[in-house]
Formats: sequence, structure tokens, C-alpha cells
Amino acid sequence: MIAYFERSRSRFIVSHGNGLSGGANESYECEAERGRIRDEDGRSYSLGGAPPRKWNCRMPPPVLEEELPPLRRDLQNLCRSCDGGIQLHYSALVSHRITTGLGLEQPRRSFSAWAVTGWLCPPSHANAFPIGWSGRGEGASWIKNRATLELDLLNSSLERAEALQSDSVPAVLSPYAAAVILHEAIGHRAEAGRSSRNATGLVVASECISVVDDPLAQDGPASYEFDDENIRSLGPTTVVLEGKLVGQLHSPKTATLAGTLPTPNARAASCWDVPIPRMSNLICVPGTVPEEEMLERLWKGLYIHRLANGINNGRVIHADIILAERIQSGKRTGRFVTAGRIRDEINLLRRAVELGNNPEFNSNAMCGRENQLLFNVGVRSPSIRLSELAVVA
Amino acid sequence: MSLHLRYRFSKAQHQGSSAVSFTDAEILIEAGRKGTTAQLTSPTRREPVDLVKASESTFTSVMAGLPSGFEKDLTVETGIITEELSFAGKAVRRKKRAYTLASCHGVVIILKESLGAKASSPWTKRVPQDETIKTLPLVLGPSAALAVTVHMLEFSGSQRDLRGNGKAILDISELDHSPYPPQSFVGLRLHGKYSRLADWKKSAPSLVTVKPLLVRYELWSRPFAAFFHDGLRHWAISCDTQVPWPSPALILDTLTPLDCCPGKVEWEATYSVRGEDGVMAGGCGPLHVQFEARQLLGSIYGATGELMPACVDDPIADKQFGLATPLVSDVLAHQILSNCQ
Repeated sequence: MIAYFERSRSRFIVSHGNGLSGGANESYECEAERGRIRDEDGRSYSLGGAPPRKWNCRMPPPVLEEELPPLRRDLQNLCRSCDGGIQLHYSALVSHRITTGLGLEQPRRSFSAWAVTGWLCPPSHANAFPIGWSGRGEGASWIKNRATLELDLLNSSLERAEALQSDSVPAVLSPYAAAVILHEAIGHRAEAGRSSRNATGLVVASECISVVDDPLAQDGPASYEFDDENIRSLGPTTVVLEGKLVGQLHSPKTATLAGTLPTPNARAASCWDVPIPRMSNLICVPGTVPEEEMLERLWKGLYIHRLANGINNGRVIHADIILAERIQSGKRTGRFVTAGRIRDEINLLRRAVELGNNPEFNSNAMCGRENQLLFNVGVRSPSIRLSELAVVA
Repeated sequence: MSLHLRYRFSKAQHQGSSAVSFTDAEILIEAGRKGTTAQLTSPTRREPVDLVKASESTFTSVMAGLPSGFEKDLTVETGIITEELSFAGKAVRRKKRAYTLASCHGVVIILKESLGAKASSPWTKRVPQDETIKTLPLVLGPSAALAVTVHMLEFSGSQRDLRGNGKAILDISELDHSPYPPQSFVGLRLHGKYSRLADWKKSAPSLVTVKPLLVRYELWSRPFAAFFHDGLRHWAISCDTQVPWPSPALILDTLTPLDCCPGKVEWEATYSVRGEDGVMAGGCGPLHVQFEARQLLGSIYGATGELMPACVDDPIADKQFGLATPLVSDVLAHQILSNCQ
């Protein structure tokens, strides 16, 4: 028998504005104490409430540290600062979990994560642009400090952005944009169980790319020593070495099927969900080239600032280009483009030419798989120069 | 004075060859001056024997007629939901609902507000993917019709002025609750009866606006409304013109978009073939098709049959239920097929 228990508290704030009257918001808090027990026959019981006292795995109530009124005020201010329409959904989750069963340790795992999702509609655009930021902890400092900068960048650049034309162009991906592509092109292929084939040995990127998965990476959105099946992290798992997929991310179940050892990657959205192999923090080893030099070598093409809605459908990688900028004579031109998409083959990172020396964690660490949406799936990537990238209008 | 809602749900689920699973919990929702809170707690535990029996009974009746190879996809769920609403400490309404849901291969076989409803397999045999299906006229099954509509609404704007082929007019309207009882929340349909209570009126709106989130405990541990397609809206899709089944016909049972953008995209479909004798055969393996949602809905020239439960199972946004009639299009399968082994 194995039992999964969780005690969690979540907070939701919905805030919106339209440039004239901005900033109305509502907030809700939800607290859950629940468990799931799987017996030897495979029967599964999902129950509300605390675990039986004799099991010795009761947990203290999780606490949302950040105060609600300033958070609501900062979200309102953010909405008021936008001239166009805006809607922001703030979510925060703080959770304690215990997995207990035969022969397993029972460490209590605690984590907190936040997300801001929604859309922005600049005054000159008919389209709404998605907003998605998330990370570890609670989001007050991001909302207060970084969110304004992000919205300023989008508002000022989208205001004068042209529509993108379909083309195949040389490109430099910013660290945030590169994170989306690495997540889709490498991370999801490394997760066991997505297809029956063992993908190890495949060349998935050019030789300049090496990637590890590390649940304990410093400042990573994910941060855990034990995964949801109590598998302990013994250090980073090498996923891609010089372009070749050399390791897969496993849960105990997929590891057994593959005849290998599990990695600390069994993750579940809640204790009522079955843990499945998921990335924790994907870390791409950076290069040595400053981004300006990469743009000089690019000479002519696109600099992709922000991507959203990345999808890997098994054959093709898709992502919405929220903001890109034309590069001419090795310099940024301030000519922004938007409303296009990357639609390229799954091995597009084989066209990576060089990596920057500027690694950063992605600002949006949300990832959904098999109906389980996580807040905290990190990618730390430098800028990546691609000899060619297929974009469509 | 605050408003309390006690929402208890118990369910049993049989899924293919896996063992049965149970869920039993209670949500206590409180809307007061300090805001709205929801708490998932423990109900008085009892073995859901009735639910297991009911679910087994439906499972067995559907399984008996299923062609081989479909067994692992059959899921039967039975549940009981009890809602108790109290205002200022006094119970104002109590409602208990039972339901049975059976689905296979993405097709909602039965969704009924009773326990252990009898149902039979929609298919009697399997049909291989071969050249013959390419020439068949296309029908969108209820779940496929819902998937195409949701995609169109997400990327191509409004459902207004959506005309089918010729004079047929598609009617796409929003339901005020999900056809799947655990996602709907009936306790607050009390406006008429209690609208004279001033304090009730102050408390009720906060529950009404947030109701999908508060009873959908599975959303509590994920970013709220992280995607446009958030599964919290429910649609009914029908057509003003009734037509007979084309015979034979290729029915797309489910459609999953492999891209999330407007315009022509690729979809993965499960399918059935309805023979000239009306016998349904379940398709083997997925089909890949390519079309633009609005254009395909524009090719509809009628509906065949009544509104039936439909479900879109989005790998990210979870299950979204609605109602739809099978929609008959003037498109032939080969016009949208991108693979057929």
C-alpha cells in the first residue's frame, strides 16, 4: 500500500482594467486536506480530510506568507497602468505533501508557487496577447518590480509592431524564448512515457547544446529533494550531451517498464493525481559569447524576445511569437514584429550555431501534461543563435 | 451574516483493465464580508458500496457488447453529489443528485442523472482504416462538434452569423451549467425564491461569479485560467435543419487539435463508420485530418438526432462537457484526411 497526503492552501485574485477605469478585483482562498491511498490490488481511494492520526503523518496548516491587501493593490495598479484592456489572474499555492508506504522514507515536502496569467490588449491592437509569468514562492515581488517592466516592454513595442510574414530566417532566441524551445524540443522528449519508444541516442540538437535536469538548481522554479514518489535527487540528470539525448526522466513506474533506475521526476499536480515523469528544472549549459556578438554574427534576421503557448505535437514545435525585432547589419533596429508563430520541425535545435553567456530562468514555468498543469517547471537557458527558423504569419 | 455551502461528492470509477478507484470528500464554501473561502475536508466516511455496484453494473452492460480492442478505453463513473446551502446558520436548500457517466474512445456513451443506468456499446464491430473510408460523407459526432466549436470560439471569435451550408443555421448557445453533474453547481439557482433577502443578495454574487472554481477542486492546485480554453464554459450546439443520416457515413467521434492557432490546423481524430444498415463500427487507430474550424462548421447542412452529451478532453485544460447533435457536412472524408493507412 502506498499513500499520498497533502495539505495545501491556494489563493486566487482576478483583476482587470480597460485603461479608463482599471483595477477592480476579487479574491478567493481554498484550503484542502486530502489523501489518496493505493492498495496492493491497485484500487485507489481519494479522500478528503486529514490522514489517520496513527499514521503519524499529519501536517501543519500551510501559510500564505504574503498579505492580501498589498497584493490586491499592486495588481490593481498594474491594471491601471495599462492603456488598453488587461485581465490578470493571480494564483498562489503553498503545499505540504507526504508519500508513505512500504519501505519508503516519509520526508515532508513543502513548496510554494505562484502564477499570473491573463491577457493584454494594447489600444492599437484588435488582438489580445497572452500574459504568463510564474515561479517559486509567492509572486508579490515579481508583480511589484518585474511585471511593470514586462508590461512596459510589451505595451511600448507592440504599439508599433508590424505583422510578421511567413519566412525562414536566421534568428537569435532571447533566454526567455530559448527556454520555451528547449522545454518543447528537449524537455518533453526526455520525459519517459510520452511514447513507447526509447528516444535515447537520438541527435536532438547541435553539439553546442548540453542539458541537465536538476530539481535542486539554485533559483529554479522547481525546488525539491524528494519527488512525489519519494525518489531522492542525487544531483542533476544529464539529458542531452553535446546534442545527443543520453538520459530520460522517469517515475518508478516508467523506469520499471524501461528496465532502468528512476530519476527524481515523478510529479503530480495534487495528491489526487498520479505522479508522472515531468521535468523539474532543465538547465542548458551556457556558451561564452555575449548576446551583442551573437547579433553581429547573425547580421540579418530576427531577435525573438518573447514566445508563448509552446506545443510539441510529436512532430512539430509550435509557439506564438509575442514580440520579435528585426536585426539589420548586426544591430537591433527597434522595428518590432508580432502576430506570428514558430512552426518548425522537432529537431530545430540541430540548427543551433552558438550559445550566449547570459543564462536566465524562464519567467513562465507553467507546463501542462495529461491534465496536470504545474506552476513550476523551470528552464534556465542562454540566448541561442539558430542558422534558420521557420516562422509563419 | 454569511452564506455556507456544503458540497459533498462521492464517486466510483471503473477504467478498462485498471482497478476501481473511489473519491469521497466535502467542500465547505463560505461567502461573507471578509471574502470567499473554500475548504476541502473529510465527510463521514462510508464505503461507497452502492456506487461500486452501480458502476460495475453499467460497466458490465457496456463491456458485453464492445468489440475487442476497445475494452481498455471504457470508463464508467458513478457518483452522488449532495449540496446543502445555509444562510445565517439556517439551511435553505438541500439537493442530492446521482449520476452515471460511461465513455469509450472519446464517445460519451451515457451521461444520466441516475445510478447504474443501463447502457450498451455504440459499436458492434471494428472497421479497419482503408481506402473505402475516404469516399464517405463526413459527420461530426457530438464530442467532435464540441471540439471544433471550442476551437473556433477560441481563435476565430464569435459564433454569431455562423451559417451552415445553404439555409442551415448552427445554433451555438452557452449553457448555464455543465451537463456533467460534478462540474455544475445547482445550489445557487435560488435567486427568484430568496431575492427579497437583502443580505443574501450581498453574499450571493461572490459565490455565483466564482462557482466553477470553488467546486472544481482539481483546479485549486493549478494556475487559474492559465489558458483561454479553460474548460469552465459549456456549450450546446445544434442546427435548425434536421436531415437523415447519410448512409454510409464516416463519423468523427473526437477531435484533438495538434496546434493552437487560428486557420487550417491538423487534428487527431477517433472515428466510427455507420453502415447502410445503420450498424456502427468503431475505427482502428487515430486519423489525422486538416481543416479550418469555421470552414468545416460552414459545411454543415443539417443535424441528425437530438442533443447528446459531448466532452472535449484537453490534455492541458482538462475535461469540458457540453451538448451537441451529430452534424452532417457536405465534405467527403478525403477532402480533409491527411493520413489513412
